[in-house]
Amino acid sequence: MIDIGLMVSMVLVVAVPVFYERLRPISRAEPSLRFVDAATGAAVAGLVTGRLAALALDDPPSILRFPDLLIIRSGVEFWPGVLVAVVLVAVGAHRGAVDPWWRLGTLVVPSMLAYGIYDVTCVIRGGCYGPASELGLRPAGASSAMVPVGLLMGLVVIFGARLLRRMIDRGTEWPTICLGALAVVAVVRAIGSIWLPRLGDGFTRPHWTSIAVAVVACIALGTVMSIRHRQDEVER
Amino acid sequence: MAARKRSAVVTAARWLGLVAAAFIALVVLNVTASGPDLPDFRASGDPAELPVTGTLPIVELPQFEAMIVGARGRPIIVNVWGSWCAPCRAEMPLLQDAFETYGDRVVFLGVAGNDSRDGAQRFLRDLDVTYANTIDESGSILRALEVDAFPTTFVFDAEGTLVIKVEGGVSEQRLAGLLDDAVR
Repeated sequence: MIDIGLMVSMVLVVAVPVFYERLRPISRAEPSLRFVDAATGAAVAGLVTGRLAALALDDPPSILRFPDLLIIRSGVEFWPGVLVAVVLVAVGAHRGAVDPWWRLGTLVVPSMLAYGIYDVTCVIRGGCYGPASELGLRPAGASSAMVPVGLLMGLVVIFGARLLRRMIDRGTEWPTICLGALAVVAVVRAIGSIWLPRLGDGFTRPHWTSIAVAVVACIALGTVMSIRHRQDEVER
Repeated sequence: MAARKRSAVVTAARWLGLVAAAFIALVVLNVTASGPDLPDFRASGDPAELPVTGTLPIVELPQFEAMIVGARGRPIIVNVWGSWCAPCRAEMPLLQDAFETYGDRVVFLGVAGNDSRDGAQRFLRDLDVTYANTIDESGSILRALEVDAFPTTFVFDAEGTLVIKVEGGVSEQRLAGLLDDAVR
């Protein structure tokens, strides 16, 4: 059967960055660069990798069953997927004699928009409700209203994309932009996961991996900014 | 040149506005709508025990209703599955995890449909499923619950009233959300 909620989510995930691109081209230096052209292959490879990683960790025999691979809703490991997508974009840029940081940086804002929209649309997939609260939304059939944690996570990521866009416009260097985006997404996922429902009492694997990525990204971001600051002082 | 750029910006802003409006409409529809139509199903009859773990009895509608009546007092999760169905295979370990976490507060009952008894038993063994399961060989339970898709998960409240029907596989978050709400 067709998962209408997931289908609508995916349409919006592609449509919103494309419309945003018309509003604000992703690269002034390369106006013909299109988000869909630059990111689709890497995104698909990332999705497949994430699904394979989830199957390898949860149910290894399923890797050999193609229908199981297609059930994306059953779990996709986020960070292995992101890693593969980033590496593919960087390698593609390098082969095309383009600075990989620059290419990754130009894709940061529309990618964050796409991810933010995916999280925001969790309300139509029925999977992002957190603690009960009178201020929340009441999903069909539920006995109480609940805080739509995923929706809030998505909004924060979209707000983060807007901040990074401003930093790009002010000439912030591309490694800072890329690591900033990584840190924003990882911190949002790490904090948001505290309130998302889960089976069992402890933190889940996606939660731990997001905490680890957030720590690494924040340290890397701090290091890059510190090096840049020292260089500026030496130049003065 | 500036006028053309402004026009492009206005057009893009209108499109973004349209997308935002469409999404808000979807959210409102999703949150206020009743989801998949709930069947007119109300269990009745004398209460009966759930099947023993590891057995897979062939059950007709009256016996299924008796099990639902017998489980009243706690929310009940009924999962309709088939061993031939890939999303069911993907979902079953989650249901088992849920049973291990919520099994003292929520009743879990699986119903195999459109399936052979041997195939269904092998499926349960392969996946180490330990909650109660039955098989609906005649299709009477599936018809009464108006099952159109595999898997389908039903949530009954503690009074035995059917409150939620979820068609297709459920994610961990969705399942945990349903269970948290059921035990609240």
